[in-house]
Amino acid sequence: MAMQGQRRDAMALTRQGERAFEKMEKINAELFVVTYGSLVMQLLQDNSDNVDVVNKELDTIGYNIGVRLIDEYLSKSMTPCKSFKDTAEATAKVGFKMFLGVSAHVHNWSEDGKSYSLILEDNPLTTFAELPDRYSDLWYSNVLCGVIRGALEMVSWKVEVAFVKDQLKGADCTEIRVTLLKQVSEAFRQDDD
Amino acid sequence: MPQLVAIAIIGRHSIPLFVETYGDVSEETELWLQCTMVSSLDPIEERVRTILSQDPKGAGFDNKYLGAVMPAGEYHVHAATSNTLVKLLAITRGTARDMELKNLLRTLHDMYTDQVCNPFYELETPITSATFRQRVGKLVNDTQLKQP
Repeated sequence: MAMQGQRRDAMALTRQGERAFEKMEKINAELFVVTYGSLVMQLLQDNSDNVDVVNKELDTIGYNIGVRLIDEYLSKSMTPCKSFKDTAEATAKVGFKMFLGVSAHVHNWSEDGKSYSLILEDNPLTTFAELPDRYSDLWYSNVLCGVIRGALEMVSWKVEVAFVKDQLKGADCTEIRVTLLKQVSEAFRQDDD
Repeated sequence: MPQLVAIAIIGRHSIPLFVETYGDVSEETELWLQCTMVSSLDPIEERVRTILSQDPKGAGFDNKYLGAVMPAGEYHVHAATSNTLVKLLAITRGTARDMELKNLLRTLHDMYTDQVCNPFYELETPITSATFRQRVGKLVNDTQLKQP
């Protein structure tokens, strides 16, 4: 019975994701993909091909996007999340679907329930890209990690997000690991007179 | 039956970006085919200039398929070009119908545009992508040429 309940929830979230996707304004995918590619190339150029620095920059850029995107997500998605587990499914089925047009799967929950993987079978950001050997340490779509980190922080979940596998590097799927560091509760400051 | 023996993509500055021969061709013929492709650039330019001079607005320059630009014995060089001055060549042994070659070159152009969208590909440099070579190889295999 519990399994049936879970399946119903998953389907409900998938439908929610599709509904939210319908409400979003769309732009040309090729333009978006080529723009992102140019961004990555420019970062590589600006940082003399230092892949570690570019990975961090992409994460920071993503973070700045995530902290803003979360409000749009909350207003269009209407998926209340009561637990960290809920946020995982919502990110995968609703968040990814709304903004990237593709949904992800949640896998490999850790025993303590504080860490999970998001698996993407299809990453639109890498549509035309082929990673050359000299950039083999580059996480091309690292912006996604920053977005998730920024968005979750704004709803009180402080997380660490990092790529584990990337199809661009020849892996069978794209895997992002999300780990909960702590839940930040809003503390209202006492105003001193 | 006409056969596709070579495909080439030449960049705007006449640098060969992709050259590949197919089927049973001896090394000598391979080299000769490559020379032929390069030497066909002049007639191509000539043809483009003629078309544009007759039709300055370029309104009739539809899809830039130039057809057979240069006979070379039993081989025929067919070309298509784009406004970005990229030239796509297909060499056949024996004469083949325009229709299939036009479609082939159009599909080749689509593959080239996909390659160009790879942010790591430096424009006007030789294409080294194995995926690209595979795709073109498959296209060549799948194309059935017919006699006119």
